[in-house]
Amino acid sequence: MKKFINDPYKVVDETIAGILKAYPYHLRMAKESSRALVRADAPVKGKVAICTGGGSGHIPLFLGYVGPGMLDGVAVGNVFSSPSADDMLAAAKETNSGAGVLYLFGNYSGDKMNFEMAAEMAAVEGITAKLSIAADDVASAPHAEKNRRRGIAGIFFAYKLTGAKADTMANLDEVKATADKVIENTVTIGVALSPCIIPAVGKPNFVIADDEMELGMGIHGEPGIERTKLKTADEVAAIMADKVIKDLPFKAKDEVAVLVNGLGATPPEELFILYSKFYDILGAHGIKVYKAFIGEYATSMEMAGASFTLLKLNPEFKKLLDAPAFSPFLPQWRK
Amino acid sequence: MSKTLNTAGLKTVLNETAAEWRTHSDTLQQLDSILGDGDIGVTVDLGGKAIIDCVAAFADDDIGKMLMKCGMSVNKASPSTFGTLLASAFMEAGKGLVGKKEIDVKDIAIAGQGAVDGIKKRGGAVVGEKTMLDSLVPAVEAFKQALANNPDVKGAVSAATAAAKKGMEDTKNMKAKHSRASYRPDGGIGVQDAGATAMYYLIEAFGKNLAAQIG
Repeated sequence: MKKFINDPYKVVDETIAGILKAYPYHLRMAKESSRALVRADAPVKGKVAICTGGGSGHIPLFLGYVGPGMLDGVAVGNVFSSPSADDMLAAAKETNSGAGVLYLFGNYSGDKMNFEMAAEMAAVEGITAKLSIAADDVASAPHAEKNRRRGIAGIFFAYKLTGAKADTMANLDEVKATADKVIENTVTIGVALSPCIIPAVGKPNFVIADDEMELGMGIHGEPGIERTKLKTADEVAAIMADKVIKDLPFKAKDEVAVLVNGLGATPPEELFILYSKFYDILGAHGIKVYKAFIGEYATSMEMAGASFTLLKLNPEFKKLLDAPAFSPFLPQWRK
Repeated sequence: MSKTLNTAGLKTVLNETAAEWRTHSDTLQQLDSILGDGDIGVTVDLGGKAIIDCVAAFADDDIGKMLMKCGMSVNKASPSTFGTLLASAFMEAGKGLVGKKEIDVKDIAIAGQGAVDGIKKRGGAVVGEKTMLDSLVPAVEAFKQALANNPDVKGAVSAATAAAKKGMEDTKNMKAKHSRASYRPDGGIGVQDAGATAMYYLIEAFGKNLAAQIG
């Protein structure tokens, strides 16, 4: 294991320490938990607070999406493990302005149970908290069982649009409805080329040969749809695009936002090679790209690979996508 | 009339139970690494320690509140799937005993049913799906059944422990419907479930220490 660490069991806390030193104008720790971070200016008066959370090891997911125009707070778990309900509650208490809290997070059993528990505990404290669960990974369950799907990079669109909706001072039900509708119209597929190492485990989380790729592998190494010989970028893009387009399905004249996400070790150059093909395939289907986002939005530490996400847009979604937002973790973000 | 257990007595039971339970963490870690990600052993270790610390620090004498507090501590110490479900079990078990400073075997049965309900509500599983419920549910049923015939604690405990053991062993032939094992094509058939095993060890230790106090 070749990593810049001091102690494998202190990786998360030392990462948080570095982040708070780097961006003190942007983030601060919640009073009741060292594993809950919130906007420096939280709570924002009159606005529904949006909080998320999940295991560490995916930066900029999850804490990188806290900021004006996006999220208010985040609970930070150990590498690839859910934060505790207590940490989630601390984030809600610190960000709630009285308009309630939306917990928006990815569909993993540990996270789901803890957020449910946190929402019950919040109710006892007089805070209304509702849940929206992102489940965009087409490879993890068939369309008929959509609510079993895992949440991966596509949650970026839910964060961005829901954050913009909350900025309009919409109420909690309206904010949740936006999140749920974005989630419903978001589909992602990933491809993995090489594994990552959880510091506390010390060895790769799965084995894959130098000349192989795995279609649909999850961001924690969960088994995918199939393992094959590595193909050219254009061939890989065609397989990925096919799975995503057929799922919703996306049709001619649809307008979409596209996200091509690197898993950590794949260089941006390769993401653009993939995007070039995605763009052509979408064009051939008569699907119009409204905006494209290429870069690292949800990583798995040093895992090599990429994911491809489409969000079907409508006029309101376009407005929400274009609304201002800021986080130092997303320097590539532009209106 | 059977004996009762006050807050101090229950603290002793929980303390001894958690200490014994933790001795199984390495075995559970190995078992869980076959189908899961190996974190059940860690949860048993950290969760057991959280129970010990929680009962030591609890200054009130409300048994229900103590159990709920233990649940919160377990969740904080280990918010894994197993840890969170165990926390839900403690919290729901505690809810049924709020305000009590002394409990008897009937209350233990109520708490046991609360634990089952808490896990079912949070995890959405039922018996037969290769989870911790497969050892817990038969144990609670056997405990209640035994008490209906004869209010003997020792008899009820041994019936519950035997039922938990059988339930645990039966998970070998079950197909997983939840968690990582459910993503395997074979659903983990042939391997005993680590969650059900961890729950069996907990029931075994709890029963032994309960019988020692009020048997």
